[in-house]
Amino acid sequence: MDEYLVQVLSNIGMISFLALSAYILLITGEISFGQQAFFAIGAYASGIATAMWGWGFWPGLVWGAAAAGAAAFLLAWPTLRMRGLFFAIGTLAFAEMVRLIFEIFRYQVEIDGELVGPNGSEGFRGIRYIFEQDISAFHYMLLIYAVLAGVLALLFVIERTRLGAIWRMLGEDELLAETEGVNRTYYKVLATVVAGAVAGIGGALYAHMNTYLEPKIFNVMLGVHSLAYGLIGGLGTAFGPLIGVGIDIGLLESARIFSGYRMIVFGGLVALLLIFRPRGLLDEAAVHALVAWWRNTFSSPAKRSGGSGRPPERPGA
Amino acid sequence: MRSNRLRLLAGPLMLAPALALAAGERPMVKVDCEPTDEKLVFHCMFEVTGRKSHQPVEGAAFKVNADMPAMPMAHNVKPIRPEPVAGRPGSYEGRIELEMRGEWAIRMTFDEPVRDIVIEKLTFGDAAVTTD
Repeated sequence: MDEYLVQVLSNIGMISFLALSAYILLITGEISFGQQAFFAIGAYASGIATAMWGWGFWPGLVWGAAAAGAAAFLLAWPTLRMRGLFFAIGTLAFAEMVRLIFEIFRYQVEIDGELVGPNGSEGFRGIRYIFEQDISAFHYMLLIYAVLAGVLALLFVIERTRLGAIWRMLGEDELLAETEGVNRTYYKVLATVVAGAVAGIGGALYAHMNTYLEPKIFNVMLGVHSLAYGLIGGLGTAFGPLIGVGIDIGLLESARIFSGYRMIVFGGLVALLLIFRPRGLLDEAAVHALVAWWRNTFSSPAKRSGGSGRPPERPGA
Repeated sequence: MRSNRLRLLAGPLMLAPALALAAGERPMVKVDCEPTDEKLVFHCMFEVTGRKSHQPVEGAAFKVNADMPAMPMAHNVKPIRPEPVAGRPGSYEGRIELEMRGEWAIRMTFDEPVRDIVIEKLTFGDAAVTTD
């Protein structure tokens, strides 16, 4: 496969984790400008694990996700009382705080005569696991999509369970959900932790592909994009944010039709969609319409009518 | 006349062990880029040396792409494969097309002499390209 295509597809895959992370909070009714912080924590934690502690890739990935999830748990408690705009500002402040901590975070060890590890604003070089294991860019791309498929499958399962219904209920009307007996605190914290862990997985994958991290990477721009992907693609299903990523990186960027003006086009697209389709292209209504169309077109008449599949017996027969 | 010939022969022979040594070790790259007449197209020179021996590395095979640290994963620069410069051991050149001016992390992924990745940050301005 063409090197450029592998690069574009890998980037689409990795940023999808961040988009899904923002999506989880969006369906619970919260707008977060801070998911890039968990992406950063996942990246640094897994990079430290494999490059400095000699861990394998998978333990490093799990460690990155766990560290990001734990950080999300810490964020969830103080921001629980915040809603709407205040929550958004709270998450932004947290993300900037994390970025600034990485600007001064120094922890290096000597490996093969070279210092490896985070060195403040100088960054963190030498996350060489995929080079040491001789994993090609193409195979790493496949690995990214395998993990993404796993996360998507998990989200689809969650959305079909009581947990998914409660998250959407909280997103629709928190007060009503609470009067129905929903423990708001518990489910909001859970959503924040899951969203943090998903971003952490993306960060871990990014660290090993890029091999180099610096705090500047995890600025607010990354958070704004991840949020915009959900708003463009739609909040009806977890596929929505992926559509948003596909439109931005896959279409606008790769086609290069707008060249350096792409960010302006992207911003304009977000503004237009917020006006005309505030819950994105693939919103809940669109998903229901698609599901109904699918059932009417492809399922058997018995399933459509909800019967047993046998023709009704005639009276007296 | 004879001694001159010997010197000419001895030069490469003395350099050969150093180059062989450089071939097996991790590379280090000094990147110099300058704007061309084409908009956002830059001509780049890559001086590849051994990280420890500091000897020029010949026969290096590597691709170069770039990412903006301020907008990671958002810009995909088409990778290039620099070609060796004749008569200058360890020097390679190529033209890279960026999407906008600003700070870029230039990523050089080596297949030869060893699989490795080297990253250098450069700021691409209107008239000049500077290193951090």
